[in-house]
Amino acid sequence: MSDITKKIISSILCLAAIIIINFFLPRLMPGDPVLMLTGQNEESISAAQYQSFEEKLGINYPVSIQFKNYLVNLFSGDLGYSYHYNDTVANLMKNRIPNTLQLAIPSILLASILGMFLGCTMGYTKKQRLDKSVTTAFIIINAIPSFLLAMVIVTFFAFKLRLFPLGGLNSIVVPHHAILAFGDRIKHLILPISTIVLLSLPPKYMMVRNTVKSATKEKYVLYAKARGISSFRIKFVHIFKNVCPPFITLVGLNLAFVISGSMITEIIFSINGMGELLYEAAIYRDFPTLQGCFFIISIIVILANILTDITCVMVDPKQRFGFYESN
Amino acid sequence: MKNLKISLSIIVAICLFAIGFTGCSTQKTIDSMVIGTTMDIQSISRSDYYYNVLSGTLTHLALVRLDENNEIQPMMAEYSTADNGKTWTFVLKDGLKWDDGEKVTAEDVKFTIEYLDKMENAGRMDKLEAINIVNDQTIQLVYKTANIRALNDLTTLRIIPKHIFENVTDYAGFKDDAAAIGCGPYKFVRFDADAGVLEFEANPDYIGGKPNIKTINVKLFKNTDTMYMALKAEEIGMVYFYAGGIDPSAAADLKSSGNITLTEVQDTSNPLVLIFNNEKTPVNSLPVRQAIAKGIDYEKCRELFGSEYSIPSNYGFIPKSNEGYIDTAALKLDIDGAKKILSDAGAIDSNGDGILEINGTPLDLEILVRTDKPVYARVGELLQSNLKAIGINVILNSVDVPTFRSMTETEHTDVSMLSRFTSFGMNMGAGMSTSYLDGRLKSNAQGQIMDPAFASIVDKLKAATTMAEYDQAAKECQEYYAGSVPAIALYWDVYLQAYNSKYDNFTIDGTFGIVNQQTWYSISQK
Repeated sequence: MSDITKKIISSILCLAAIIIINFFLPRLMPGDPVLMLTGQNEESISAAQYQSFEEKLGINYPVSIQFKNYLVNLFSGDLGYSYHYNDTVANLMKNRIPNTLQLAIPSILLASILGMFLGCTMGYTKKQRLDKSVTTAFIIINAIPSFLLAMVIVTFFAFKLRLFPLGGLNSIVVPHHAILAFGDRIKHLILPISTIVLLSLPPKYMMVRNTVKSATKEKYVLYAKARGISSFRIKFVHIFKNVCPPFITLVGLNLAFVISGSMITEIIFSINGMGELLYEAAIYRDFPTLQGCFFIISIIVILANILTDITCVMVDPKQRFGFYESN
Repeated sequence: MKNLKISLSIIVAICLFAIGFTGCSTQKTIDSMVIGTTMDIQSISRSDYYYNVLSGTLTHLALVRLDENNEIQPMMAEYSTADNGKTWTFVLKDGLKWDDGEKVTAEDVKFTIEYLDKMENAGRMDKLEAINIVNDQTIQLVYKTANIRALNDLTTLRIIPKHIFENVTDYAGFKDDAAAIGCGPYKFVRFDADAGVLEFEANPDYIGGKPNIKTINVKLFKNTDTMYMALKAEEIGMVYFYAGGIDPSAAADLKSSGNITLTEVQDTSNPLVLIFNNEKTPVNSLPVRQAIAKGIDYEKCRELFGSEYSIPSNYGFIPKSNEGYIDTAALKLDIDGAKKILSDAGAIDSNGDGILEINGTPLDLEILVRTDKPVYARVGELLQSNLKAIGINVILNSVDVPTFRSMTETEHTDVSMLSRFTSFGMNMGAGMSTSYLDGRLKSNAQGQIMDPAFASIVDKLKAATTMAEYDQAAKECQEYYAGSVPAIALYWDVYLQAYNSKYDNFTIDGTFGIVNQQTWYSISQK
């Protein structure tokens, strides 16, 4: 069995475990599962309401039937109902995931490219002072709490310099022309994306920079230099190929962090996204929404893991060779 | 030549006069205004608390309203009463129309009362004997007992169209644009969740005429700091939060920006209160409550948490400007007095740890605070240090909102809590904050007072058939609070409302502050 097949099987098992935990957690927790799943409390719920919730949730059926119904609902996209928002969890997420992805995807791409470029450059450079300055700057950025960094960015660029809007994803009056509307959206996205990039860049930079630094002492780098290959090619082709697998894994894992961890950015920039949804759900103990969000984030993590493994095989000749050989 | 000079002089004089005149004038018609808010509006469902509040300032009308002196004024209807407040008759104003063109009728009023009772457990039907529709525009509410304060309750009953809602069974889930149909001076236009904007446009058919602002946009912020920056940067015209003003700690910064006006709205609420669960040890003991009242540094509290306009509170608990207010002793820090009360009650520090014990039980006071309101934790820390000086050990318990509500409003398992009492909440039921304190009530009633003497006062408040009777009962109620200290108002304050200085002539309303339906007709731009 190939590594990829093994990975896919273990991911499916992981998904099954998540589904089982998601189903049993509210039912095994101390207290009434009806109240847990609806976020209501015993005193404020009337007998009629309780009965209605019980019927809707099917709690009075045997566990096996409940589980079967849960699976059927899950695979038909029904993630439950939020009594806090008075809406289905799927609907809540459907409205917010696109907003979060507009932040997450450019942030991940930018942070990865910048992390790779700066990491390779600083890891390979002989200018110790420059390397130390850049690395120290990233260590400092990494130590700044996310809300503080976001506030500093918004205060300086949006309030003091008035270069960007203070929040939201578009202006109060959106321009009618598609290109202008697109420009308006980009203008609103620049600061939140920059914040997330700055927050997620330091670990990537440090990983690449340290790996490249140690790789410069390897023999293959010495041979490449001796053959007169340009520094650019040595950095970004020869060395980066070896740095790639752990870097791709880091980027893959970062996807889930960016989706859930953009919470602070979304709050500071008043963006209706997944992070803000999770924050509200946690404050108001909205279990169905929390469950739904965690389930989707788990799936994203699993998919990102599979994707990173496949990408690693594609870019790493050693793994690719092993993969083909085993087939 | 001479004639030419005279003519030129006259023309120049006219021009100068015209320039001077227009330079001093204010613009009555304003194209648009953006109101910033951190109110958590998720949808336009009538069950969305803050949207419902906002609609009361723009699109929806109540039968009556409170003016800046907390006097009842007609809004949708003229009112009269018979039988000493048992029967109230409302005559709807002529020409009221829903935004879709349908006429507003007495049936809509009857439907709203019955429908909201079913959907929101509003509890009005329990108090009513009958709702009689006299004609298309006249409705009578007949209460089971005389209810001199019935109108107060009706200030927040926003009438909804029967023809829209009669088939709506999923009240909370009804988020269609039709849910926003009202009959007020503004019409709902759109809710753009991405931009975080609600847009309203002036209603040309409103009986009061066109309001001064053509379009009102409500911009939703998720944090106050960015909202204040937007106000300073003139991206928004004013900031608003229902039953609360700006953060007092931000007042100086906003004022110094030069383009923002801060206005005071008399706060008839209790902005910061320490409420005892009067049934729980150790605060079920009067000397302990009295000692706590003397052990708090109220000046420090005002300095740290109040605005510069905050004033000391008193033992009577009910803030000035409320109906029936009487002067009682001012709350002051008196450590020696507190220690003496505790010593007289037999409290001793037997183990020398600085914490007193009564009958061998240490004086531990648990104060419950909400995690979503970090300021209460800071207040709790101040009380912790204050009360330690008189030998009481404060244990701060920070819990999430549902747990807080469950513990304080339904289970009553808390010992004491920090919160605020809104003006509306304090006027609910019999008024005088009794709905927060009367232990006979099933829900809310954080104070849990079970004392028959208090119950008798509450019954007197409820049974009052004239305002003189009500004021007499209100006086007894405040005297009871002063003597029994069931809760402590840490200070009284004003709401500070902030808006761009280019706007002027706001009207103040007892329920909504400066954002209200009268403001849209008085506001002007310099």
